Amino acid sequence: MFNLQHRINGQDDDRHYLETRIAVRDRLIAQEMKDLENTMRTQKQWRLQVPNSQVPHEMILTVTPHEGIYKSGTFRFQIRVMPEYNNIPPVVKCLTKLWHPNITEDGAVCLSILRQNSLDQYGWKPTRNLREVVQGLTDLFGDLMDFGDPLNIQAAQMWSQNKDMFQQRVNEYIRRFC
Amino acid sequence: MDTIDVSNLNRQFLFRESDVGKSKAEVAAAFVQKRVSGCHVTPHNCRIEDKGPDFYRKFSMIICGLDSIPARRWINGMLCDLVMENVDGTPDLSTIIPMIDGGTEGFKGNARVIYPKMSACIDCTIDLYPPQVNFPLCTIAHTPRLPEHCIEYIKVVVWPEEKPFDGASLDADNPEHVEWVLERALLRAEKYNIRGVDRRLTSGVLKRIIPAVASTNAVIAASCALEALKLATNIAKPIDNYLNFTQIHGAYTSVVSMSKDENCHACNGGRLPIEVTATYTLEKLINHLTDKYHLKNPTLETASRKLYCISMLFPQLEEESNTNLQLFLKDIVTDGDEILVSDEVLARAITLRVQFI
Repeated sequence: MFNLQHRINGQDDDRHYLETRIAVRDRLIAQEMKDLENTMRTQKQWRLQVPNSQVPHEMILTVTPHEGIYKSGTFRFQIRVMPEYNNIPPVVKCLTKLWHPNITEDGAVCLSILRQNSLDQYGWKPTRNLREVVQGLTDLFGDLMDFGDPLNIQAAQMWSQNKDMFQQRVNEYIRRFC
Repeated sequence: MDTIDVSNLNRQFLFRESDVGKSKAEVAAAFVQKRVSGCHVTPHNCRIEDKGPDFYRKFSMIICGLDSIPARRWINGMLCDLVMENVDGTPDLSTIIPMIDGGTEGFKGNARVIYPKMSACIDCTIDLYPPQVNFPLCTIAHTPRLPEHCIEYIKVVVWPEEKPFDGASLDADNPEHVEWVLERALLRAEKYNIRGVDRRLTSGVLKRIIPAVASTNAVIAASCALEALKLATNIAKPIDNYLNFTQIHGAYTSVVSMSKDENCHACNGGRLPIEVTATYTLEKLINHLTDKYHLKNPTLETASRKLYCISMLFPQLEEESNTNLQLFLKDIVTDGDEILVSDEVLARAITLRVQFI
């Protein structure tokens, strides 16, 4: 059974501690990077980069949809993994101005798994990882595009009123900002 | 830092009215020291993160009365990291510092005893904590339904847009700021036909306050003190290992034994001591690890830099990595440093602890 008596009697008081700890976040990122690298090799819709190797927790994701409304666009996202990962989700911002029901023109992204804790099961959980985040962001240009629960209300309204006009505006933004 | 407020006085019995405004740590320490002869209490007025391993290593046990989950995870991680492994991988019992953690929320509370690396830790049971209320931005912005949504909208969208009070950041303790938010929240609530916005709710939402019940705190504090007494004196067996308490309807308490999670990142996978001589190069270490663990393309890094990383994600490191192979370990790490080894074949990155012999 665990017993503190010898410690209380003063043993081990002078053992000096030299270690440099590696944070839980960095441990998790190191392993997830390996997984991401493998996945990246098997597809062509997205690319991940780490601009500064001294700051491995800040990444840029580039999504290039091959089909659908956003075909031929190049959309960049900044992904930042905070020290409290993986209790909290990474913070994602869209760096490319675009016309999308779930991403505002200022870059705010509405994706359920990026929500820090929620009462339903669609928010962030510590069992999720960066691969799911990258897949989720890529799917925003496909399956996960949701006109029913929009962040950019005007975009959603334009879609329901005039789909051609919506597509034109998407293309115009791609021309100007991608 | 944490100072005494008049609203604390109904339950925080170490403080008196004349102490309002002073540091909680200092007043509490002085009170106990004066009341209990022979007892020595040292207050520290800083964040727990401001102290390092050398500080925490000196204690025989840690008792926590923290107010957030990240803080609990931090101290849990610190105590887990202080546990040294024997060469066979088992924890060195003399380096285990037990942690007693208590928490309350309204009419519910819990007290638990944690033996880092030996029993269930905070991270092992992290999903026990109920999800914290965090409203999705789309709901707040477009489809508010509760008075809280209205208040949150003013805090998150309107305040940063309008920048009142000369661009000052929102201070939930400033009555003028609260009033400003309240006025606009009421307008928004009226627009969406929502009732229930008032000054108390506004304050509560801005500060994320959950009202404290004195009796819950008393029960949990007493439980923690009792466990500390048992651990210090061995007069009785400490609880194994998690005490639940609720007094929403009547009063109920029971102890459950939480299991350690073998996949927990905080208390598993220890640091394997690895003995190196003065002539050991990085290349030699990589070859040794590749053979031992059947690795394909390991990445090695310390807390401050990547030593060896050949990856599509870090093309800029390829050249440096190849040059580093010839370096002697004694020139790039010091005794006791951690090296993290990650590879596609590993389920979890391995942490090594360097020992120069």
